[in-house]
Amino acid sequence: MIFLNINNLNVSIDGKKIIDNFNLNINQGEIHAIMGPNGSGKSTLANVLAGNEDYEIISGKIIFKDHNLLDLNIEERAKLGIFLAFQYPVEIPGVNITPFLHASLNSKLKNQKKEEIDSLSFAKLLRKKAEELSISSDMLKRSINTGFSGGEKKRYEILQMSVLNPEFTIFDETDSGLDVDALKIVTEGINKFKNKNNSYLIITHYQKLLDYIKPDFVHVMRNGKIVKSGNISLASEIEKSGYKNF
Amino acid sequence: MNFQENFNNHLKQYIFSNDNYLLKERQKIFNKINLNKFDKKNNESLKNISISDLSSFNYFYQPSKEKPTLEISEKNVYQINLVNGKCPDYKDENIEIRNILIKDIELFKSNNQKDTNDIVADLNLVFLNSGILIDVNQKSKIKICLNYKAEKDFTIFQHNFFNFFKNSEVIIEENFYLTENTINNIYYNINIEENSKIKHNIFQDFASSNKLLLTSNTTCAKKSSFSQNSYNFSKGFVRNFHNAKLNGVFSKASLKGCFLLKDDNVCSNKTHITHNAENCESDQKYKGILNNISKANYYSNTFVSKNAQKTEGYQLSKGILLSDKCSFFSKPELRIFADDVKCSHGSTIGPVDENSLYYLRSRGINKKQAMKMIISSFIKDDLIDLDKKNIDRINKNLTQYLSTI
Amino acid sequence: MNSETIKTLDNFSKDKYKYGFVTEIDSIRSKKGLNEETIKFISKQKNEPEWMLSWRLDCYKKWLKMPQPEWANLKIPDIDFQDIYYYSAPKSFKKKPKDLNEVDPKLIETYNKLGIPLEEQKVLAGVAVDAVFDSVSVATTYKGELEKLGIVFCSISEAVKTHPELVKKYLGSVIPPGDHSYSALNSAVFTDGSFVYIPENVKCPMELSTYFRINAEETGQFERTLIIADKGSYVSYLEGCTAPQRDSNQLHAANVELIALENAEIKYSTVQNWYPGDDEGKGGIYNFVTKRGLCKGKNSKISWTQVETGSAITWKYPSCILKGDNSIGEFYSVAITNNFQQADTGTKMTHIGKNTRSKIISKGISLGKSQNTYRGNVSFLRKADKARNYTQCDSLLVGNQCGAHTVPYIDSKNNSAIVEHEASTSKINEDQLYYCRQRGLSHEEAVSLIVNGFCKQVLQELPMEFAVEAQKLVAISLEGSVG
Ligand SMILES: Nc1ncnc2c1ncn2[C@@H]1O[C@H](COP(=O)(O)OP(=O)(O)O)[C@@H](O)[C@H]1O
Ligand SMILES: [Mg+2]
Repeated sequence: MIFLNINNLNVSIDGKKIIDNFNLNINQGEIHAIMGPNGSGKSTLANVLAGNEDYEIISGKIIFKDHNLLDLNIEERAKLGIFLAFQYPVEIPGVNITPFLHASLNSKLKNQKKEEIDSLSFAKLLRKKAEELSISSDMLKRSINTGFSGGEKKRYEILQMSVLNPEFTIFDETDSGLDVDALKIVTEGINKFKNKNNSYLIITHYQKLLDYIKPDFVHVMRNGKIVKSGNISLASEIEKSGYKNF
Repeated sequence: MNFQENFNNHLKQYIFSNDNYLLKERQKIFNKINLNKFDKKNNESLKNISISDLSSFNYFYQPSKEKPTLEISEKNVYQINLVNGKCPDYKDENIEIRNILIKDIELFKSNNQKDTNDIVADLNLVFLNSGILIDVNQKSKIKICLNYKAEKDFTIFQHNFFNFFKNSEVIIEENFYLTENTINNIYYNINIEENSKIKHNIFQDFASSNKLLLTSNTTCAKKSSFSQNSYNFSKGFVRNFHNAKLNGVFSKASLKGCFLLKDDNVCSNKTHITHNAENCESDQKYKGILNNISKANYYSNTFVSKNAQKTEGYQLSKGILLSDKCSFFSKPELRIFADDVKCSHGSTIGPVDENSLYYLRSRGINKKQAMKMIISSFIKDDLIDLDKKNIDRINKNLTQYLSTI
Repeated sequence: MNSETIKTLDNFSKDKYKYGFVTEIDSIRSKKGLNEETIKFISKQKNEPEWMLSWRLDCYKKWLKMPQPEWANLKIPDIDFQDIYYYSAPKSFKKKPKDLNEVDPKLIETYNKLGIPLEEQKVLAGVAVDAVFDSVSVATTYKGELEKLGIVFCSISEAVKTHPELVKKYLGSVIPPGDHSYSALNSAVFTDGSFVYIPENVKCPMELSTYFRINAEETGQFERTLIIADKGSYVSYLEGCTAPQRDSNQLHAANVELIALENAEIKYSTVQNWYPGDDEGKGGIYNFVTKRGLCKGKNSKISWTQVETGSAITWKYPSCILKGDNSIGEFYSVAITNNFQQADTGTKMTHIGKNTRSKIISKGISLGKSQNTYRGNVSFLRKADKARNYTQCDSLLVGNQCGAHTVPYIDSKNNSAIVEHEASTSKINEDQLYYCRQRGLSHEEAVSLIVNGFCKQVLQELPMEFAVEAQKLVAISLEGSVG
């Protein structure tokens, strides 16, 4: 099975090319990190993988679990196992996480022809996962992301991931806006969730995150393409002398 | 003199008096008002002012001995001194200025100025006795100061046409030097062409026996911008009714104003912005402070037509009431027929904010002083890129006003 | 808004109107048209005392002289008041049935179908229901239990006879018959509705509710409801409404008056689901409603909550007159319009007493070719020292065929009073849709979830028993189904 293969991808927005002949292969169980300066197209890549309709795919192919990803819409990709932990999770006033995530999970289970989970068991599951991430039951009662601090929002994303159990998660600057303690909680959650069947794509600016989550591969992205790939030592190189050498 | 007498006695004196078409229009309006054939209850032009206040006056208009003048005080700064609605004729590579002439009649016929319910605009046409025309040429970057002088007892009904041709950048400043017992009903058609940027500052500070009633209709073409600020420190009646139409894509209009009222001052404000094209922005904001038995009203309206997608429209109205006998009425309206819009309005009316008062007093400032500080910052918040002379002038008015609290 | 969203939301509305059936039943009607004879006929059918008839006739004379109100942003076709039946009641109601055994089983069946069982053993727990069918009240449940507490809950027709002193004192005291032409019309021809009296210091232990059903064709329904909460009492009242699906328009012109005395609180909720007409704009109810509450005593409180989804035209402004010092008025509203529906709804908060407070939360959602207007009036009179109002009205637009309008009037004559007003209009947030769909929700589910969240502040004000139903009515069952 091809897990994830991005082949010669070209993407533009408002006529401006943002992803430029991009290639990447990720196998099941691997952790990849993409590092790159602001505006290099990292979030765009994440959104294109998730199926955001604002971008224009000019050419290229993306295979995920043997499916032609570009033929699927946002929710079909989600149900297939793609999870995007957003850089800026949006506030949804008046909508509580419990029914929201319950419906998400059930739509996924339904898609897998599995039995749906009843609300009582779901509430239990959610509470358990929340505890693991030090999310108080009070926070579960609030509207999604509404009035949350940056750190709380990121923790909320990880909570959703651990409930939905995706095979492929993209973390878009999940470390930004987190203090040391929050970073620790979040990365512990991410590591705990990792097993041999799921893969991560970690997008970050800083090496710091990669001290907590060890990637198998590190890629440097500039102007919409990968300019260098290597292992964790690449991250320290960037930490030392920035992106100007790439 | 009542409305009928004014109409009949002076019919021959008004401008275009021998044009049949206009005569008919005038007659129509006359009948409507005289026979009370209109919806008075919902009439915004009659808020805080009665129909008899508007229509009964001593019509007085005659040639004046004093001549209007023009001087170019600094490079590209035109000082135009109007006398009783008349301007000097002038022309150079930037600008053409002249009084309206018989041949301009077509402007009135084609210009559908009438909001059928606006009595003040109606009266402007009925008693029309003056008007000026200003054309600013393409790419001109100039400042125009219009200094209106009205002699004692004059009743001026003036209709002005300003055209700003493509790519011009103009600051237009209006000052009113009203003597005594004058009525100044001035109607503007402002036409802004592509890419032009127009600032319009209106200073209103005159004595109590005068009335100033302004009505403007501005149209904005593609990528143009119009920014209007009215500063009302008058003791007499002031009306500021300003409309703008965003007809070209990526155009912007901002209609703002502030007023300081005391004693039995009355002022009536309205702004209305119509979005007719995509990607336009609008802003409407009036703020005022009321004391004693003064009264004010502010109607604002954002109208977004069906094809004006990607509109952003903001409105704000704020009133501070200082006495237990003043009153403020506000009606911020949104009428929206396109879905991809961001529109909002806010409105607050109340006393000086308790929290700010508390804060300042906890820093050792006495209550009265604190009040004054809050009020002046309330007004000054919005003074943007005015020159020093005008800032001083506003400060002077503000100080004067504050000294009476 | 992309086309998918529009499709999704269209589907909500095309969910067939569930309550569109007709009950075949013989009825007695007044002659068509409005004149003194009609009014005498109505009064006679109801065995009313003389004073009631002469009140009606006075109001009729007022109506004759009044023009139709014009302030609303509505296109109302001319209504021919002579082409309407003003009274229609099942034949079997010649004498009001003493108990349910005497009621025509067809009627009981009708209410069962509407989800409002009337039989003793099946009644809704914790909710006493007065069921009004066309012009008459069919039955009132839990009557006995309420009587033990001294609570009067009966049809207004009955109250005219059993509590004439209260009816005489309060009927028309909050909405003067001469207020506008529909209040005069209703006062002249009102047929049935509920009467509630809560005695001093009694907290009504259950929800009181009236279910209005229009059945007969070409018949107007003229509901009249009067609720009096005596000192220190509390009551929560809910009304629901449905009507058959017909091509012609029908008129529902109600007057509802609430009076809260010192320290009393009335909570009034409406779930309005009259037949809205079809997707071409044919048929539907004209819902012209005058609702007004008087906070008469100190520290009293009146709270209106409405979920307006039905009717071809809605014209309705549940209002509060805040007369007693420290009294509180609230208005929570969700109004959804689709297809060719028109709604002009909002509230009027008149602050008269010192320290009076009001709060307005309005959520409008326009779809299809509909027009949805919020109209509100907040005024502080001279003596309303330290009064406060907070208003928030938000509108959502779906598609560019519809309109959303906000028309607030704010008038302050008191310098210690504070009014704060905020409003916004926008389309459904695309980022929110994206977020939900990234979590695997379909477009449709995402939209309903977001719309539901948008209305949350209002829906949560409904009594528990009805919140779920209302959420469904907003076509968004997701949030209520869990948790
Ligand atoms: N919705 C958008 N509209 C216009 N330009 C965009 C949009 N999203 C991203 N861009 C542009 O694309 C480039 C890449 O942005 P992004 O993917 O957010 O970079 P990164 O996440 O690496 O900082 C930037 O130049 C940005 O301005
Ligand atoms: Mg980014």
